[in-house]
Amino acid sequence: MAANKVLLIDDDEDFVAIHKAYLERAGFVVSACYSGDDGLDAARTEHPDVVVLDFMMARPTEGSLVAQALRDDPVLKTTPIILLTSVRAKHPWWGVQQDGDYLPVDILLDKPIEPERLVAEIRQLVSQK
Amino acid sequence: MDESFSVLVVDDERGMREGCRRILERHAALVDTAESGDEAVAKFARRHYDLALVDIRMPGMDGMETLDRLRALDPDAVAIMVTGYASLQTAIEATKRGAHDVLPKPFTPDQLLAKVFSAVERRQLTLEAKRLREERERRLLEIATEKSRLRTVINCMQDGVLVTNRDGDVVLSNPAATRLLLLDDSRLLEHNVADAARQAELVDMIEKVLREGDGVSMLAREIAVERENRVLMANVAPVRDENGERLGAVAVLRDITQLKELDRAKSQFVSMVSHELRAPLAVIEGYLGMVLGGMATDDPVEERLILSRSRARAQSLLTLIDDLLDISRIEAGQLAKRVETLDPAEICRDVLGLLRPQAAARGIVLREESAGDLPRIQADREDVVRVLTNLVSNAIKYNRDEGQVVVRSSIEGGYLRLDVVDTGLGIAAEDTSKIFDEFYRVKRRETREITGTGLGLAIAKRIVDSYNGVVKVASELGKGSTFSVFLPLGDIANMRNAIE
Repeated sequence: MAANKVLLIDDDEDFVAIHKAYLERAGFVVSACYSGDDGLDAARTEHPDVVVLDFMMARPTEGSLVAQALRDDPVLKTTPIILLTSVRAKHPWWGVQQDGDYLPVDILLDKPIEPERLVAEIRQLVSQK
Repeated sequence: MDESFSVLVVDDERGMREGCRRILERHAALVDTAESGDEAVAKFARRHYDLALVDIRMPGMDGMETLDRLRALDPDAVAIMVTGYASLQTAIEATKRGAHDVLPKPFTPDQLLAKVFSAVERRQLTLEAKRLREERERRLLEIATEKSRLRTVINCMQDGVLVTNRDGDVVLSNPAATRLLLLDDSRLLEHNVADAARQAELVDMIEKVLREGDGVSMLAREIAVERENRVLMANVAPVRDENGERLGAVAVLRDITQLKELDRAKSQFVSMVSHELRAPLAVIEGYLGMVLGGMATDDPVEERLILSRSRARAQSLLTLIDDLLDISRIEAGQLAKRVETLDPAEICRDVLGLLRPQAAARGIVLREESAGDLPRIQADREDVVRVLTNLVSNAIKYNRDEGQVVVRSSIEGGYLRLDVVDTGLGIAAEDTSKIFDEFYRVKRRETREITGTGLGLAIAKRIVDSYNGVVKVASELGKGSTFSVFLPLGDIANMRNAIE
């Protein structure tokens, strides 16, 4: 069985470096992008099994725009998406409805996140496929 | 008679006067005598006697007229009229005019004493009744004063007070209650609280106290006033009489909106700080995990990169903690300030000198321009250095390579004005209102590489605020920004006093 592919999209290079290392150790094939546009291009060519997406990149809602574009893509629309946000912890009044209709993602997680936790969440998503 | 009593014997016959005196003095009476009505009136005007023994027939002013005059001087005067011509007619006439009794002549000592004792008793009862009446009047006056005083106190209170009887009808309320509960004054008094107040929670509390009062000593609950987004703390307790009988309920309402707001701002700040502390620590921990878990390759260059990035995060953490300590120092307020006379030009030179290497690394030129001789200012040197350092350091960080930063100082109105002008990225209009917020950082593609805690401008603003100064920003995207600080000239301590 071929290894599962994970696409990390985050403008924080440290975040990408660390989680890439942990995911690779866990047996995933990982590619990384540092912006939403690059990430969308990569998703269209690489067809990852799971996309890990940062909510707030250069533009404050970049992550949700990427998620929406993935959902609108006929090929990628069922690819599981994990959206990470530090906004919720940073601004407690900022609520994201964890509701499929509202945010087209599978899982919403708070940043920072322990690498082991992210690995476990991705394993769970892949096993459901 | 146990107690001594005073008697004035009024008679034109000396024998009668002295006879009575002898008899009465034996029974502890203080006896005085007068040989005419005129003399009796004169004596009565000087002091009161418990009893007057008045002969009806006297030359000059007769007994009846004397009686009238005595009673005019002391309406409670008790008089026994003595007469040698006792008739029913005389007795009626005397009683009509206010005499207590009539004593016919001749009389025995016992007859005299019997009449006198009865009269004295009457006098004592009259005085006691008068004392009680006066006492009652004084009490009523006191109660009225106390009531009006209580009313005034309750009306002046900032907390709302609402009192109901046992049926829940409002019997007392103050203006604060009307204001806090957004009530119509005319709807309040005499109306049932359930009809008057729109706050169902408050009505519930009052009804619960009225219903189950015996088991309830006091209910406390926060209630929301929807229309004004206010939060009230309501305390409701039963009102009882001295026998513990429930008479009604009293509700005291305090507006705690501001407290809640402060509380929320505090938790929000704590939450933001925790997040800002956790983020770099998570990175450091992640990198350490990589090294220790053998996830880093054996490539010493990569390992070195990981360690140097961890170190950079650790340093940013230290800067953040320094900034937080600064904030707490500013919050400690005026007490912590070491105010001295400062030369603003010298501070500008110092700050620019310190930051020059950082600017030079990117080819940025730092310049200062001053509009002639500037007056000295009164401030804590550390504060002014901090404000200027934060602004100039931002002007360097957000500048383009080979750009420039100008610090311009001038006097405007009663203020020292410091402009920090850069040739950098500029700030979008929607961001200018937020950049002074704690932890707010402009996020754009171009700002990705710029490090910072998001506290620099917040600290600068807090410091400037603490001097009653102003900090403003004007900016154009792609061209640059100008941050202007206005610090009041003159003695801050005096200014503060003037304001307070």
